[in-house]
Amino acid sequence: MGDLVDGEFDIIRTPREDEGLEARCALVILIDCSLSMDGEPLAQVNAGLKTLFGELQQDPLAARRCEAAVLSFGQTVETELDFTVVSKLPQAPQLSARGNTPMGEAILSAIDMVQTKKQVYKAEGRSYYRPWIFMLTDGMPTDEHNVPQATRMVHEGERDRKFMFFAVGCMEADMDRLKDIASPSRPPLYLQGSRFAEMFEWLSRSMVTVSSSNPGDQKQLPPVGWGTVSA
Amino acid sequence: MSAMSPHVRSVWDGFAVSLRGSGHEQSGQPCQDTSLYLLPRADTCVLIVADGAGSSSLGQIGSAAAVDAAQNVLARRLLYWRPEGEPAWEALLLECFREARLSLEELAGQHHSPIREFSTTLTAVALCPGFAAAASIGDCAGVVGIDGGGLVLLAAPEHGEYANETRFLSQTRWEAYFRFYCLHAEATMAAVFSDSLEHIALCRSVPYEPFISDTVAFAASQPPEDRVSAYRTFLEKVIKGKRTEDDISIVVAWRAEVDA
Repeated sequence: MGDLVDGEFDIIRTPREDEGLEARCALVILIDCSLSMDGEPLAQVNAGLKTLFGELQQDPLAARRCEAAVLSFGQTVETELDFTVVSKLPQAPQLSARGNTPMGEAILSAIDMVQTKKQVYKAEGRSYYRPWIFMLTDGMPTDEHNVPQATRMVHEGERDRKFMFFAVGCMEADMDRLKDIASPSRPPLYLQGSRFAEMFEWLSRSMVTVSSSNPGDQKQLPPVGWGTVSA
Repeated sequence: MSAMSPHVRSVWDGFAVSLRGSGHEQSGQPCQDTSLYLLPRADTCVLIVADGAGSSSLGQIGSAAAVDAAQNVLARRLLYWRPEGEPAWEALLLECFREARLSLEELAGQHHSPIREFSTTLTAVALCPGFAAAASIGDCAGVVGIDGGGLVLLAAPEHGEYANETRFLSQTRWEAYFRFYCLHAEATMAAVFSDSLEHIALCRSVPYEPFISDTVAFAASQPPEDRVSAYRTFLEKVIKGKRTEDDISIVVAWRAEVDA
């Protein structure tokens, strides 16, 4: 039992940190790395990823709970960062441009990743938040054969509350195609100008908000000041 | 029960504490939990925790009303009668939850607000000779210590698929979410606590014995008049800032030996 030590309770035995299973908030970031993103846009994305992970690491709860992955799609879909708890992330990945825009395959890969991750959480007996998939693109999909399935799975996943899918278009993005792919309940956003930094700061604040929410405590996400909903 | 001197007898003792979470302090929200230790008759004690939903504007009123309604039923019914067996206890606890639900509906009418603004969970554990009963909607938990050793998770916290989801008494289908548990055993102690203590009081869905037993031992060592404030100080200093922003509630009961 606890004793009084210098006026403070030296209580009481609690489970060690590693005995309790921290809740997890899975985040998959999909970045269009086609050649049209080369140069300044990808440089800003790389800086934004660094900011995102840096800010999440500053928040003790979010750092422990947020488990992030980064996929790039440019000619091929590459796992730039497999799921990693943010507190254990050594550095943000550096993305480079290449090829065309296999967006459909990237979306399918991200959905597969979050579904697999949820199974892992369940097997561990770990509680978890609704996963996020966050996609940034400046173009349109070049793998048309994958798009119908990706669209169907995004719509079903949003409808069945399996994950949240955020689509952001920038520069010359085909917002009509994005509107078809994204769920009607969560339409795509168009990034104003070059406000990449603000977008990643919003993502960071959103993850902090979500990862600190308690049952019945559906907190409001921060306002989106960097983007507009496409008409 | 353990052998006891003829000069002492065993009685129930207990206390309840609710604390405002650090997140609610920062946002200026009140503590939305309500907790109660009740001794409606000498051989029967009841522990109740209601956790008002953070997203509800009047969750603290909802949790207080729900506990008050349940308390009124228990105090009235148990004064001259004690249920025997599972069906009688389930019926009594369901009546408590019905009255608690009615109190939320009345509040909604009085405030001209949707009932969801008064959302709250509700968990009650009752201990009587040879029997422990519990009822719950939501993610509070109830643990019972059994004579001869061992802790049992009697009322398991009910989470939705996601960590920030649970069931509430305010939901339309609340009766479908009502869960009743019982145990034919002699209870020596019990604890009911909000989800904010789950990571400390449970370890992989198993009662974490050191925390539970130390809590009881600590509380029992305090003079009754200091118990709540002493344990509150402990929670504030040791637990609250550690891993939760949410309000914290715990109700603990134990068998105490007093002069016959």
